[in-house]
Amino acid sequence: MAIQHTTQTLAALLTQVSAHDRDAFAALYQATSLKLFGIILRILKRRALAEDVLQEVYIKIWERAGDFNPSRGSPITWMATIARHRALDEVRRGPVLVSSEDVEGFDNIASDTPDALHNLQQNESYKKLSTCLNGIEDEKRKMILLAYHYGFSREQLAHKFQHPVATIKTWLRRSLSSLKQCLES
Amino acid sequence: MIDPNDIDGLAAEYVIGTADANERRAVDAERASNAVLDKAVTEWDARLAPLLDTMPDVEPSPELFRKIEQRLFGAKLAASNDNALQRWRMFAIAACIALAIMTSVTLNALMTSKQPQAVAVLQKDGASPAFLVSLDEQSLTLTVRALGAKAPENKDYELWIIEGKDAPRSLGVLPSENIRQVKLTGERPDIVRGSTLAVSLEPIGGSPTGKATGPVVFIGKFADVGL
Repeated sequence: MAIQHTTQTLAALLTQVSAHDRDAFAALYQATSLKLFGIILRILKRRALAEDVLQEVYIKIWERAGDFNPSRGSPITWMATIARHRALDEVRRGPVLVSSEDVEGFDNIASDTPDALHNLQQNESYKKLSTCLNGIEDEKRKMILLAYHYGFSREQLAHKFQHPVATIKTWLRRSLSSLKQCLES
Repeated sequence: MIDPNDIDGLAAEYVIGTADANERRAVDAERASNAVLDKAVTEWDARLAPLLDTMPDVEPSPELFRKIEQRLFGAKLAASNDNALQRWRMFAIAACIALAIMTSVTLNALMTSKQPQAVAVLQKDGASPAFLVSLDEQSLTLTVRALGAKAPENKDYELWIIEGKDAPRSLGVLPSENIRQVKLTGERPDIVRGSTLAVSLEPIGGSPTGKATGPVVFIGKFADVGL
């Protein structure tokens, strides 16, 4: 119920923002900026850069609020997807990093990912994704999650798991393809 | 031109983020004109979107929203905001003094009192305060003063207190032109001080259900007045 309420409220705010209502934009920012910043910061690691990207994301949301289509997902997913892709553009545009040593809390990542899956299981509607991810071999599932959550490149995954970049790419493609099959079955 | 046999794999890697800079550019450039590619990316985004829910919230710097507004609405707005803020500060101080006089607390007593006075301004945005609420922690009395906000015809403003994660509780319908005092009983002053106050628009006489049925039009929290 709470989630439903939030979805309706955010959708209403987006509609107002598309009519260039500045108060609605401020309320939308208040309600969603922590979530979006969390996503961006995890990928970009550097706060100043992450804040620049967050600014651009909200400018895009202001300009494109009218594009939000409720039949294609919830408002927060729409906004979070814009934020994630913008952060990925930024991290891929930079120099290709091989080492992942500068990733803050990197040592915790391995133990962090099962937690993420645990959280997923608590919500009925996410159960399927969790089941399908758990059906993927341990190392390959970790690769997908490290990429999705922390913006790991193929090169960084190759360094961490000690396999050639080409092998990483092949494995990712295969794992993602079987994930899709599982979700559609 | 993206290889048609590669579309789904590329879309998947674009979404998890392992596609490199060139591949991302190619996908971005071709999405608008390639419906199959666009659909594949949208579907992969949706498939993995539940993972977004597991990411922790992080607070950006407080001044960031101002920077966004500045970039969107220009320097003019920022300047007028400064004025608004300035005006609003002056106004709040003036209103607090007026309130102190009207609630027959002498200004002198208030200024020398060791007990800080908590005041909440209920408003839609920083430039338009609608109600001023002061809290007397000793007697647990809220004094609500209308600042010219008038409910639309056939509607009443109703005041709600939200303490922690509890459901909002009604503190009754508010008059639009004068002062109303609300005595709270059995409350801890620190909890009241930390609460949020909200005003919703309800049918005449207040919400018939005991829960807010109309939109929340004004909201605020207590802050100490440094008089």
